Amino acid sequence: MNGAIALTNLDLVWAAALIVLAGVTSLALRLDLERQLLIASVRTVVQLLLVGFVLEQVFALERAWAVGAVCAVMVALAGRAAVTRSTRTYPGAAWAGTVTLALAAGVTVVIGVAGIVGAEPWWRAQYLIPMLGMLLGNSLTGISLCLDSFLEVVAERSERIELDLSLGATRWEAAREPLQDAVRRGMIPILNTMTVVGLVSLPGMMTGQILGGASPLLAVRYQIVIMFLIAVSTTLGVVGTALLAYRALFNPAHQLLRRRVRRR
Amino acid sequence: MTLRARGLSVAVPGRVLVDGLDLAVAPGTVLSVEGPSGSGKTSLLRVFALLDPPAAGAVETEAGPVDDVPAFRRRHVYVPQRPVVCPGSVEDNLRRAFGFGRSPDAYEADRARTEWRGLGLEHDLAVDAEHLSQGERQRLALVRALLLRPAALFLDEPTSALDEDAVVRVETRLRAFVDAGGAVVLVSHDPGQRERLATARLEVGA
Repeated sequence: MNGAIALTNLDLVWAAALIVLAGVTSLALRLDLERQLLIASVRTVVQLLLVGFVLEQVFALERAWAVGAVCAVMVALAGRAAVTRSTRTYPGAAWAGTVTLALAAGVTVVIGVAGIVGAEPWWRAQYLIPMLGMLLGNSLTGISLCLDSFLEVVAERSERIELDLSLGATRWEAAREPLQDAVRRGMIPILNTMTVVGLVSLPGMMTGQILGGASPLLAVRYQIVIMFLIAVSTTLGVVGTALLAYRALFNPAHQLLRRRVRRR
Repeated sequence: MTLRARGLSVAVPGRVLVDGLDLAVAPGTVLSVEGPSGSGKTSLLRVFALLDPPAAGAVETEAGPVDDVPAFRRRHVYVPQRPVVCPGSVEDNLRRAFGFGRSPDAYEADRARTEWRGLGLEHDLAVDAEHLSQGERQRLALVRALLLRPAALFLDEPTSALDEDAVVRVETRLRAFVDAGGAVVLVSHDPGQRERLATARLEVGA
């Protein structure tokens, strides 16, 4: 099996030349996208080079603490992103999002890398970091959708919840329906992806492995594993998020604390 | 069962509406809560129903502090000014209170029909509740509360969307409820109604 063909800096310049072509198109059609295109291109280059540089060091170091530090930063960034993407928030949402993501993706990735893939040592950067990245990226989408759905109900349709409370429902009985809807909403993207995977587009990881020289069948096996891990991590993350939001917005006196929900 | 407010304070962010209220609502009484718009009548009603936490103090029953809040709410039912109607038939809505796990008693279809007709409503209970007018919804909410055989009702403008005939029917029903030992805490903008029903008055936000 051959590795990928090496890309030189000159090759990157050629790719950049193609982007200039896109910029010229924008100018010609007066799309006003040149500036954004330029900024986005520069960000792509800088961010990816930076990540590549850090990962190169971490891979070379082969130390658990270095891998752990990278993972911690990834989790923190993902936790923030999960919560800032939703239109509403409540006090403590960022903290709840980060903890949920850390537990959901963390537990799942360890099962995947140590238990299924069987990497030695289990924290080996080559496996742990990209797989964690994929779990976080997908789980955070589900988490933000779930949070959006639940907080929207609490903010816009609190009367229904309070009707049930005023008729003697416990806080759990009153919240169950909106919680179920929120969990369902959070699960939709991964279920959709799993339904059409391979038919509409080839997933990024599989494409990467094939480009890297792996046989398509091996790439597919990895992809199947990662899909299931993403589904598990998303489920845990979405359910955890919903339950933490429930605990924050309903007090033990079975009262709905709707004033805690704020638009950001 | 007498309902008590002990040192009850009600606040919204940045404003205290009711401060240190001590009060008892005995069976067979109608307490009219009065005051200008925005003075905190609805907020006080919601705190009485334990839907919002008080800023200070507590709502208690004769037995003392309330420890089983859902059970308290089944016996002391809050009916908001804008009645909430859920998707489904009128009967689905009336049954709603009996769908919760710990509900001790069962929905009585005959009683539901009698209460419904008693308030001047002609529709079959199978009609879609979403098609009801505002006034019909108000009465649906009242029937839904009465079916729980409550000790007290917290009513926020219960007849604001009703015509004269319907108002008479609701007031007659409420009087029967009070005569049978029920208690009502009433917010009404209609001075005539307060005059006809109230046995005690509470002025807030004066």
